[in-house]
Amino acid sequence: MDGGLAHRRVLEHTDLDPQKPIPQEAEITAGCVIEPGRSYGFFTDTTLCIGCKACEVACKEWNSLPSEKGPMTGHSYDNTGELGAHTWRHVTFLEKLDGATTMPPYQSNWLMMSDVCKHCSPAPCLEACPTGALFRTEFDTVVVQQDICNGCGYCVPACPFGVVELAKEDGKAHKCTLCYDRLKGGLEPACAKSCPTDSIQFGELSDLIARAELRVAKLHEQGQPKAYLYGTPDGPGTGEGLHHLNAFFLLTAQPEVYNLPPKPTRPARNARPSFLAGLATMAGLAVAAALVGVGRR
Amino acid sequence: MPSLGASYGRGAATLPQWDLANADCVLVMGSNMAENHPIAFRFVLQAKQKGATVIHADPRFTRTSAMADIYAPLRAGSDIAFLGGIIRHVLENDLWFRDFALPYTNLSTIIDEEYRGPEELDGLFSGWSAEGRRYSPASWQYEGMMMPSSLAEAFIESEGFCEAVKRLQDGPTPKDETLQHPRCVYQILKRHYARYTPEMVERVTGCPREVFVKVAEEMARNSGRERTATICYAVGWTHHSTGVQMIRAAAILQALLGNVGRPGGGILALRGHTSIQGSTDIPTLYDMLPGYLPQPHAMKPHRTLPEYLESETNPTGWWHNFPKYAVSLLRAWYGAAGNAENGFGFDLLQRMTGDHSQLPMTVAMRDGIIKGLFVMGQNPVIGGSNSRLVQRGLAQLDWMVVRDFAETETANFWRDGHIIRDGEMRTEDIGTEVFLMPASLAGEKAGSFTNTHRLIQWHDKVVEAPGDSRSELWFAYHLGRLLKEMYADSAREEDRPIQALTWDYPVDEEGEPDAEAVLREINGYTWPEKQQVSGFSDLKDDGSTACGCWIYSGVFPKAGENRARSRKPDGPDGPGTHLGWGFAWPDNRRTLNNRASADPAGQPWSERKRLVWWDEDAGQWDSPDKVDFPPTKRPDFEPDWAGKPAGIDALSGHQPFIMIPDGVAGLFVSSGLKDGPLPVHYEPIESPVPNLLYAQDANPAAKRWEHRDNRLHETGDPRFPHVLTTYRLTEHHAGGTPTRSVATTAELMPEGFCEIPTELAHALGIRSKDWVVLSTLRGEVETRALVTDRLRPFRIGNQLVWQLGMPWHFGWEGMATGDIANVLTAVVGDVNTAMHENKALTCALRPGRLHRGER
Amino acid sequence: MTRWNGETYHGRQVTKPSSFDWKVSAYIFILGVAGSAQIIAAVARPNRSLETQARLLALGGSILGPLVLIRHLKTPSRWFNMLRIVRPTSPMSLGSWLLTAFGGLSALTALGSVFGRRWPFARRISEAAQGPAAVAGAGMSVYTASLLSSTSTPLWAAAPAPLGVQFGSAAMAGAASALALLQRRDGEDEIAQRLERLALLAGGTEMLASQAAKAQWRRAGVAPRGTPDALIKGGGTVAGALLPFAAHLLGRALGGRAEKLLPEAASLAMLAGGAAMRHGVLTAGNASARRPGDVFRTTQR
Repeated sequence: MDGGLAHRRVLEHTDLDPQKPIPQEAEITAGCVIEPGRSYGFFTDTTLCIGCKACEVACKEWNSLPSEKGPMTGHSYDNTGELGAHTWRHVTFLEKLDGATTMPPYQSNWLMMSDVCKHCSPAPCLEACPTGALFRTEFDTVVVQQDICNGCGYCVPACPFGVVELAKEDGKAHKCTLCYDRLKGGLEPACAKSCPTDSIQFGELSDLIARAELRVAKLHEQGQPKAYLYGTPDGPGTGEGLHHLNAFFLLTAQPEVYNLPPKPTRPARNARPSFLAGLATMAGLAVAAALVGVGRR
Repeated sequence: MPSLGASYGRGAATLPQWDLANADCVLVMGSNMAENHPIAFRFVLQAKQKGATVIHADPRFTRTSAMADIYAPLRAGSDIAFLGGIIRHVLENDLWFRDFALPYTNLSTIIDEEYRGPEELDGLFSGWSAEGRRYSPASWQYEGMMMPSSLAEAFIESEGFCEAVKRLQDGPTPKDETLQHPRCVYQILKRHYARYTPEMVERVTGCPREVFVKVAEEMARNSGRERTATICYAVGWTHHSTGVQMIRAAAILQALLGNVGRPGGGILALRGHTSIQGSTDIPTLYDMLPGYLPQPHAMKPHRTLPEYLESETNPTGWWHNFPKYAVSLLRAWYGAAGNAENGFGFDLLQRMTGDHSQLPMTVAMRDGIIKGLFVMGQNPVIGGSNSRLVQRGLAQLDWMVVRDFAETETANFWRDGHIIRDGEMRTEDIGTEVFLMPASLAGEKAGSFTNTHRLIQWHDKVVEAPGDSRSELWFAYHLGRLLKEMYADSAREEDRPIQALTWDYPVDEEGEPDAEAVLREINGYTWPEKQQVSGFSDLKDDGSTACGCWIYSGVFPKAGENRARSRKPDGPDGPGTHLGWGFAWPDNRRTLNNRASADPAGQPWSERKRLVWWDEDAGQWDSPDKVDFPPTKRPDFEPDWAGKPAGIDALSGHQPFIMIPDGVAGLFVSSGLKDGPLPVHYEPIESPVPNLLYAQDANPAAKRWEHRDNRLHETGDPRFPHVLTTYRLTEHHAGGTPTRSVATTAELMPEGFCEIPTELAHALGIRSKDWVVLSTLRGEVETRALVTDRLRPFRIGNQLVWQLGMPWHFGWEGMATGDIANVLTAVVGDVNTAMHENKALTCALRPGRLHRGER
Repeated sequence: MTRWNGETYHGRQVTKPSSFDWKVSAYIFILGVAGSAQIIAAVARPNRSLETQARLLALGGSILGPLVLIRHLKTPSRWFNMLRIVRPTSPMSLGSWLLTAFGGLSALTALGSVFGRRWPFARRISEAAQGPAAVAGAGMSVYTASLLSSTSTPLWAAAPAPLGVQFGSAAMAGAASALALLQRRDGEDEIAQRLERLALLAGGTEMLASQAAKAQWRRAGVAPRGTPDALIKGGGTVAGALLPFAAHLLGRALGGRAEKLLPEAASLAMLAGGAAMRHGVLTAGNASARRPGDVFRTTQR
């Protein structure tokens, strides 16, 4: 029989009081120690996703987010619709049935993906935020400080993925914090911990990327040639100025069917051409004003 | 439960969930595993990561299908045709694991010459009585030998039964190891399944033949010495009028392929979340006592304890120990009130007189026979078949107590129910007095769960329940206590059982009984010293031990040692059996019949699939698991027939199925099953098509209740042309009460709906989110449409059959609401389990709403 | 990566539209007029009356504009958090600082015009402030364009440079028109005519920039539709350029009262057109953010 499933360190804690917190619990549940100064993120492997939505529920429960119950959408099994102020994990469902009975290994024909804030590097929302409410944490994640945000709303159109949203209730911008509070306590984020199939993996970014690349190679070998990574440096999901996504994905179909832009860019890159063209115009018009002699008597 | 019990000896999953990771092929059938058992499905994906083939055979393309390598679509209720086809494929092409199946199953056993199969009797077995609508198993026996069942009821009504079964002690069962004898099980099987050809499978199930053949080949390719395959099933099989036989077909296939008792091989019965395994072990079932002991029956030789023990004790196999377990149970229940005169209290036990399961209970309520009802941990208006009949029944009651943590549809049927909605009754005309009592949730009370693979796991109380919410234990204990007080002075004979009952659990300052005290009693102790016993091997039949459930014995072996609370998994270097995590019955054995993982000589079939082996030097069996076999019985041991061996001594050292009287897996089951010794494809009781395999359409022995409120559709009734299947969504738990009343889960599936194949929806002009009405002769419901390609049409014979699907766990209470699918279903069921057939019925569909103008 | 084939996720939006509404459009318009007024003030010498009007227009705009903008904040009481940090990548952050500077400089320039006679030092201060105020005014006129273009809203991001030209020239057209109206009121028809000429020049520039923007939008596949499109066309091209041209030509041809009234109408049209164009761009952007096709088309390369 195969070896055990548990992390070696579990054995240190089996005789302890179950009420007692386990220091650096993430090492046991996710295989990584959480320390300030390192980059953390999510690797969401859609081929393992069974669409159970446990991540959505775990996220709402941990972060005390209100539910937004609406009528059913009719969009397959997706009734949450999209990420938003109160929905920080959202599972997409797209039926791509072609009547096939023999399918590539792992998820196929009914595509499900647990979407989340990408914690981009650089992060357009953070770059847009005029108040500094959005900041990069010591774990290289992007978080909104609710006591600073004044609801200017500029981060909302800045986000290339439609993640950030102003809450109707308080008008502040809200989004996934990558469980900043849990990371500080050495705990794996709630969604990743609740994922029964390890479709959502939390870890140090370099480890995750290495793991993901191996997974892609393995999938190609096992008969899923369409597998690719979305959001790793310079790959799909990144574009001009947008170097990588700390929360990246393994997909098997084109990004659009998961509602992801294929090559998002860093919006701040547009500021300079727009401003300079405008200033040149103004200079020209100022000269024109002088030439017209608006002040001449 | 009966099918695995009859085939392998115990009605439970043969392997732990995590052992799925060791499988080379996983066939999920009769289950939407990814949705309803997502945690167990984790191990399927681990197997997949190691290269296993994952197959899903199901009427609907579900979230499980999405993860499969092969999706085999088949019409709801046609599973036996599919599995029978695989069995035929394996036999005809000689793909079965001969070295395993020949010694470890009854393949070579010779059957009585009176036996006739459905291939000769056009869908019936020999022994059918048309007027009694039941079978006599007399002709299904081994040649010259009566085989008692390893199920709860060993006794079968047959002349001279008790004497006949003793012949098992005279010598080995009649066999032809060459398999040439025309009446050996092998030849019977071949004849029986000869007509289940790939062409016929396609015609009956609608599954394309090449897909079917691929599934059969994958199963066979991944079985044998080096490889193992697992079958996972759930209520997608049990909720049929042929449910038990569907599982039997899987059991036959797995035994033929050598996939029992071996790492990554077996049958994983996926049980419901709410400790369903536990509720059959220590049953809420009417016909069993804890530990699968038979409930005494008024019409059977159960008048006294000796008579009961005499008729129910198997002469050979482990069940020979039955008296120890029965007497210890009586001691636990009646304590000092039990004595030799009253059979340790046996005389106080109530006798059953027939089927007292939920289905006939519903009918009896409707007919005014049952006057009062306790509803605990259940919501029959949602979950019971023929919900309108249920509601009409509830309306006839004098009183009803509902215990739940939220107001359920059952609790307020008198205000919002269908009978009110449809104007059939007025609230003021309903006399039922309803008591709604708040119940606590799992985290608000201590207790244990028994999960799908017999693993008992303790959970502590972590938070106070709000308000007056109380545990079930509190309720049951104080109800019993008050009843005992009320009847304390009674001199009437019928009150003796209550007076005699041992009911002395310690309570805390809030009156909450100590749940561990109950578990200590379940484990068992010596009498009257009350020293914990270490396991069921300590139990005696002389009244010197008490045990609440023998199979759980060992869970609390010493004072202060609750093994269900143990949480020691194997580390990465451990063997992966996790013996320190919880306690699995029996005796912490994780893989049942694991002696079968070694060959007859005691050596593992292969290094890759090593689990149990004979250690010649130590003179005992060795394994990282607990061995499910007498620990020092040599592999070459042969019974000494001259000495009329009894019990386990009558089994050889290479007969791994110790619960079965002849020690081998029952491919052909002589007794214990009421609808035949072998699985046969019958159409569901309601089907749009006739049976293409036999003249007999539906299971002749299936339970039907003729009632004006429970009318059934004829086969092929043009008014009800579509197949309807009901199921649950992963977003909702149990009957929906726990999740529909919580905002974070309610929003995930906020409304009830019916899944409709795209082509049919187009033909009827239905789009997603439109209202549609589904109807049967039992009632009508309106719900939203969800148009999808995941349901596809089936060509059955020459007929195009559409299949609809409707989740059954919606109701009018809570935040996620919808009409009740069970309004459509009928009270019909499997004859062995009285389990309803809610997975396959027929219905009509039309666009629109029930009450026009009302919005 | 295969090219986009029109597939979407149930037709749902990919990006989220901004919360920017008419208040933000109004702010862009007001600060545009105010900013460009400072440029005119800088070249208004020796016309003190025009200079004063321009400076006061700038001051008024820099008081009114922020009030409107703060009302758009969901937590207006935290408006000062805008000045908590300097975020070089955020046009909104830099714009807030620019607005602060512009407001202060406008106050200083107004100081000289209002109190200059009594306190000569005030005049000196405002003269010193005029140059920086004009530069800040230029920034105020155009930064809102870069604010919109620095987003993931497909339409805003698709034509950053034309948008800068469009917003800047509309700002100048608005300021010149507003001052022309004031001068007409004062009877300074000649000054007003020169301002109107400037406005027409700016309006013409805006029209060209609009065409360039439209071409870029069309190329990117994010062309505005419906009401926003009508606002951009009607406000930018028709009311912002074509109508005023026609009015001036007609006025000159007709002479008499029309020679005075039609240019006044033209100035009003330019102001209204500038406001409409900004609102059109704003709402067209929000609409494009809701269209998955727009997002996918602009993120293919």
